[in-house]
Amino acid sequence: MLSREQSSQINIRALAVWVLLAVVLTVWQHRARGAGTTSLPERAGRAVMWPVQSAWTAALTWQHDVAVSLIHSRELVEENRRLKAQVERLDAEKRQLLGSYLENKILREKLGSALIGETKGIAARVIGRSTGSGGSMVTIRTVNGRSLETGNVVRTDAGLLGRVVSADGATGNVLLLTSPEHAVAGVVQERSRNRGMVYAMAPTSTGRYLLRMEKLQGHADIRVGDVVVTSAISDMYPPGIPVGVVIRVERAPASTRTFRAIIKPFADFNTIDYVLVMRGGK
Amino acid sequence: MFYLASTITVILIVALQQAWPPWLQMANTTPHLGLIAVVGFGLLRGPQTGVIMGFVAAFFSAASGSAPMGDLFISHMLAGFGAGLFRGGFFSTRISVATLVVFAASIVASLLHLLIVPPSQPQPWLYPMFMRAIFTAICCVPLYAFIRWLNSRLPGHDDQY
Repeated sequence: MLSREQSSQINIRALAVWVLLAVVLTVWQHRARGAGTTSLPERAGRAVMWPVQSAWTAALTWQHDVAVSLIHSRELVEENRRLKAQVERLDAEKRQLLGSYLENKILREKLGSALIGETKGIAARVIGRSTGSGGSMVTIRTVNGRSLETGNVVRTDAGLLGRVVSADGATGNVLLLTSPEHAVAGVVQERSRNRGMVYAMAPTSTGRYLLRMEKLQGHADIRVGDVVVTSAISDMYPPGIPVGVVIRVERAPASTRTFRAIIKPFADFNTIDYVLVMRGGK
Repeated sequence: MFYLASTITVILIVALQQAWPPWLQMANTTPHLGLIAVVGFGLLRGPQTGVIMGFVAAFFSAASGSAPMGDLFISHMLAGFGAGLFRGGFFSTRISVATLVVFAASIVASLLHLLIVPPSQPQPWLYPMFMRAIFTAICCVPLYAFIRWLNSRLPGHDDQY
């Protein structure tokens, strides 16, 4: 069966030793298992094998991870790009929200109860002032982009400012109470209900704007400290908007039977930055 | 020196077989890598070396996997001895010959295992056996090339090819 050369290669005695050793190990293992234990050679074999096996497992796991990363590298790059774009968009939104929050905070500080109370209106920002006489015109733009209309009433938290005389979308020009061309029907609030027309006066040497209430008859009951509001007889303004407070009452220059009241406006015309635009003015 | 190096090689290969990851399995089978090493050394060094390497592979395979040693000793030592008989024969060092021998040895080992350690529950055996043999034969190509390269650098190499 075996060639002579092959037979010369085989050391029968050595083979028999190995076979015998195999039998011994098998019987040893069988007996140990029967006794519920592990044979000593088996434990020795494990002590050698298990660290090597662990190393292989770690290496193969690493290789698997690398392979998966390579296979999905394009997807990962794409996902990374998408996430970066998302982060940029969210950052922009965050900045926009922060801007809106700060603007809202300013609006609440400037317009306060006019925004929160029953008064319905749109907040607007002053974006320009006319260079005409007395700085009596301002340009405003609504903060939410809503359109303005000619005739809209403009006020602050403190009081009346004027009315929109021309509008183009969200932007409009406001004729202020301090303009010489402007007049508004006023009434003394609550106490006497005396009526008169309120006009602008030339600014004082300190740059303060004052108003005057004309056509008050001699029997009119008007005192320093009275509050003047818009009158219901005017169709330009809704009634009851605070205009100012009487600081002085004096005889009219042209007539001995009439008086006039000097009014300090509630609104500070020198520092207008945010205003409230109310619909309803005609 | 040769036996030390070849024993370490067999241990490494058997450990790789035991650590074979699921994502590298073919038809839920792992290759008989230990058998490839045994057949390889048998083909290159003769039946006696084949038997010794078969003993080493079977022992460490059984020890690490808590498998019964009996059938592993028989199948591996027999495979080593059988492959050793081909040594010096026609094309005995070719990878294709090694692949065929490994394929046959894998089937024999599976059958022996089935006969000596039958499963407790009846289960399909033919398909897994052939798939495992095919997988082992595929793995034999690079592994046998490595063993042949290693053998050529170890003492006792007779330069017959």
